[in-house]
Amino acid sequence: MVGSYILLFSNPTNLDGGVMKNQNMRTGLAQAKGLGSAKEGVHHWLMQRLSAVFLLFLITWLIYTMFLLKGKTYHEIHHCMQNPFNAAGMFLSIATMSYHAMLGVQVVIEDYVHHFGWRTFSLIVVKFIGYALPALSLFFLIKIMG
Amino acid sequence: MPSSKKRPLSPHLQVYRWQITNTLSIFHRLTGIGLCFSLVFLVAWLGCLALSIDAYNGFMSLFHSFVGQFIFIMSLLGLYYHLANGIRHLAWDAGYGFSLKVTTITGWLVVIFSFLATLLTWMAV
Repeated sequence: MVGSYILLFSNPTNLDGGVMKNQNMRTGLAQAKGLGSAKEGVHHWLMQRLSAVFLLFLITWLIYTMFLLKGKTYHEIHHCMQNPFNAAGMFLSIATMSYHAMLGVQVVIEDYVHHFGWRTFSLIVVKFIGYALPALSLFFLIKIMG
Repeated sequence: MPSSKKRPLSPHLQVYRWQITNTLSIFHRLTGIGLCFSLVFLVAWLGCLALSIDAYNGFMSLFHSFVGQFIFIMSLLGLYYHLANGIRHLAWDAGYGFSLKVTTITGWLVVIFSFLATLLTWMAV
């Protein structure tokens, strides 16, 4: 525990008397934590790409399903959404779109909102909507299936 | 980074030429934001389907109005553009297509695809 603090404040060249142990300028603690200057790591970037790949399939399914529903009556569409596979597909589409959108809008807010208070507030609102939308659509689907 | 005074920015939008690269980049962001609104409309459609036949018919009559069709077409355009340019981004993430020549070609492919797919979808609906 104390050793990690020593690593935090020491210059890498001091550790073994002259030769740089690391190829980069990171302390051992920084390397162990694995975070960059964003204090957050690469998880956001990865999830954005992962949700994008899922969306390639989900959007294809969604457009295909909407084509099938074209011109149908309310009762036919209502009945179609009672099929659990269609309901699951609709929910997954909306949830993944919401998640992908939430991540994307976070980046936009971080880019353009320079006031710390407003930026924090905006990010919280976006995160809330990002989870509230799929929750709402889930209950819509539960009502349809019920 | 709070600043006490508003200092002037050096001009950029009036100065730098619009090229395929930067234009498509900003449109990827704009379509992304626009699609957030389209998503809300989709959830609203689902909600009207869940609530009652009157609510659903009310939604569909708005959908078939001029404004509704305009929003629908713009949503399709935004969707297909963001989808195609998104694939272009994923290719970059995998390391492919960074040369200026390939970027220009794929860029124009994205634009052509967006308009074509929108046209085909709207004609089929």
